[in-house]
Amino acid sequence: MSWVKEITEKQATSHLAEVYAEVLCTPLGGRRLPSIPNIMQCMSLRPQALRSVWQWNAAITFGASTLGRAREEMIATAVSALNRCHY
Amino acid sequence: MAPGDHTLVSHLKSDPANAPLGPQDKAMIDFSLKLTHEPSSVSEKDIYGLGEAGFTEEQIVDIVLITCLFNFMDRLADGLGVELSEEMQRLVEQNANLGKMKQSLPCWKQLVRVRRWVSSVRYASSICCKLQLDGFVDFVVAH
Repeated sequence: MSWVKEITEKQATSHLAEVYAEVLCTPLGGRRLPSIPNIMQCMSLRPQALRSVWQWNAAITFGASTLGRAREEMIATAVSALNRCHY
Repeated sequence: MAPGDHTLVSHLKSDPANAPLGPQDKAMIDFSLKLTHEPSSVSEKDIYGLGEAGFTEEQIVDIVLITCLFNFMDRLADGLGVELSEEMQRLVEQNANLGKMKQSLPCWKQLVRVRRWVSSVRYASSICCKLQLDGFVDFVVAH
């Protein structure tokens, strides 16, 4: 998954369990995620940070921005290509 | 960008600065790349340029936010060594295969045009000619 300890959805309790429930309940582009994405689970040791990043993500992607889904994806692709991000 | 435009996606991945975009999308991507590559070089003039390209101030804020988000996500993934889950990997591969199929569509579209042209010729031809063209049409469709 990643180079740090991660708490999975099954192992999560209290605050982290609430945050994971929020992630899985948030509709993205009309759909809900089937599981917690690795890019979110890598922050499981810091649930409040995970929640903030998730809310930031949900507010401006999957068609939630004023630009529309296609332009959001264009920026994501161009930026990640320039950063040579493996993910 | 049309939904499922895999040619443009591959261009954006391999050479984002020179992807074939319309003027408004080009202004947006040039700005995002500048903000990613050299954030301190961005000035008010760049924001003015986005306005000139037709973006509202709300949209300009979103362009900056989305650029920031993906710079953050890229650094998060690289910084903690995040790997794609098997499920996501499968989705990416499926999408890439779909892209290859879609890229080959223009060739099929040309064949369909050939078939339509042949059909119109066939209509005007004698029965003898029709029989020969049927063989040609089958050959074109089969290949």
